[in-house]
Amino acid sequence: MATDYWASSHYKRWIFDRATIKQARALDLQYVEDPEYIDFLGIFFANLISKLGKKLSMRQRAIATATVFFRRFYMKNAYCETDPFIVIAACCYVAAKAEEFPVHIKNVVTEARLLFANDEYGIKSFPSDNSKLAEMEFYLVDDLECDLIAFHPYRTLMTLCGREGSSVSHDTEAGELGAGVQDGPRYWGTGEGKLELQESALQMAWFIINDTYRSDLCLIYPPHLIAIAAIYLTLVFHESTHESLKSAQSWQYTPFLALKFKPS
Amino acid sequence: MPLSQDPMRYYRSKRDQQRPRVTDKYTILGFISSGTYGRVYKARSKEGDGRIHAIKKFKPDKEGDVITYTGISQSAIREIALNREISHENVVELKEVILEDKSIYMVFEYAEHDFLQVIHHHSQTLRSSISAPVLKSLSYQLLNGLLYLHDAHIIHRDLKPANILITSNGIVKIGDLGLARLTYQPLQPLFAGDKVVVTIWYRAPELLLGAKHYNKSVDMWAIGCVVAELASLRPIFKGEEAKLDSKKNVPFQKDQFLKIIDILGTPEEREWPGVKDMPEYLNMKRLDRNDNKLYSWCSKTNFAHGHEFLKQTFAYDPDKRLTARDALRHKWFQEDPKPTTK
Repeated sequence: MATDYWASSHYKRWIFDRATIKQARALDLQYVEDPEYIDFLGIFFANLISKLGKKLSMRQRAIATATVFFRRFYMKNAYCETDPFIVIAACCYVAAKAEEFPVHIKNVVTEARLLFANDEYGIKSFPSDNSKLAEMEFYLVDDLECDLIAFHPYRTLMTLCGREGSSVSHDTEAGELGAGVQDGPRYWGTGEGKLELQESALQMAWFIINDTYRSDLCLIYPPHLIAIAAIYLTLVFHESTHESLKSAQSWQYTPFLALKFKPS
Repeated sequence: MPLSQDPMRYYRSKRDQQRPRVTDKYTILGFISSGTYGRVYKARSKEGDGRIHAIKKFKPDKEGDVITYTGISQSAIREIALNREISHENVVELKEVILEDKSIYMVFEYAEHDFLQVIHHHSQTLRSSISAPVLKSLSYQLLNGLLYLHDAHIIHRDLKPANILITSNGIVKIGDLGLARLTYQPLQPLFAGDKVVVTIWYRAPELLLGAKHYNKSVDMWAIGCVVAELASLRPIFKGEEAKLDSKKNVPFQKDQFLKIIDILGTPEEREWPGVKDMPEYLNMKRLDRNDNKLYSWCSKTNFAHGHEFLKQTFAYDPDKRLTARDALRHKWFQEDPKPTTK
């Protein structure tokens, strides 16, 4: 999230097509009866990252970054040749640093050991030695090609809903979609309007975005597209929002066109 | 060790075999400098045109005599992460990063000199000031690089002559992003990460007064100090740093503040309304009052043409301080003598 998305390492090096992603799982596929199990593994590990992240008091954005790192790592590696549990811990450890909210390596080791050893997972072999995690970090950063800044849909969502920048106003300009640009060129929109979403609908969109990390979407689509898709799904699934859209006479068949942009 | 105890052994040996070694790709020619982070070497590429590079090797961590993994430092993570995203003629370019034997090597494009050497060369060898057209050109390029960083939401936080490089063709390159960081929607306030930022002589007054919130304008203050130093060939505010006390509390940097007040006068509430909310405000009030003597400093330095520019860069109120964008449009760069290339 340094400059704009189109100039980022995220866009230039870490967006793949589905065939490439499938190819990355070729070795693992030899060990499963049903290819769908591989997707289940992806969900399982994403949940685990989220659990460990919460134990470490990591913010949602840092957890999302850790998940992106995990998926990028397994674009180059196979589950069956590695230990995903230590990879998960290293992803959380590096993501916390990359998001400028570092957690101490000792805490990561302690929390990871506790979490993985419980009855649900039964992984008792997680090393207690900090240097093993630090070693994994070293190899992880190498496999990530040192690209440690990831873009996330949360930012687009909050920008479209006019919810960002209030606390740090004079230092938040420009971003993906050119959101909130105060100086320099605007690439998108006028910045005058904002999307009106009920608080609970915004929550729903946020949770849908959380769920996208349980799939490969973050490797396939640019984050702002994922955000807009999440908003679209919210308009369909969020009952009172959906009702109010239906009762509005025009646009009733196409909720997407009913995104209401009103001058703020 | 049985596989069950270290399931990553196979992975690591595979990676170790694939990874090119620094010495496969570069011939180390010599040592350039060292710091708390590690060492910088001059090296020639073995591929292609045999270009010269600067390789920054981060110090590996040691437990006793054994080199071990202790985790990559926050500043290395920052410098690597930010450098991977940016590209600009006036910012030192990162060519690649090589991770090898528990050490991190950052390979940068090579620049022959830095501003510190330029200043020394003029003050010690030539014994004459830097000509106004050259000074303006250096300043302009420096601001151009800074504007790029600021537009990318990066605050450098350690601008000083030693970190500003210059190639033999006279192209200015901002270097060392080890203290730099993104300011876009920080998850926690900036001060929480690093208690002390910017080398003392180049540190902005709001930082000296203990401000918890600061922004890009701290870089502009440092730029003002650098431009003034290029003009006079010595640091404009050369204060003594008060050391951290035993509890690692940051003391009020009285001497540094006195040096600033000597030239710029005591900050007034009407020019900087926020000053009274600064944690060190009362300490500042105890200092003897002084009037602004910047113009006479500029005249003495034969730099009267740069007075207006410095005055705006040294605005006490961070919100009123010149921005990089406005600085590039400043009439100083349009007036005679016009900037030139070196």
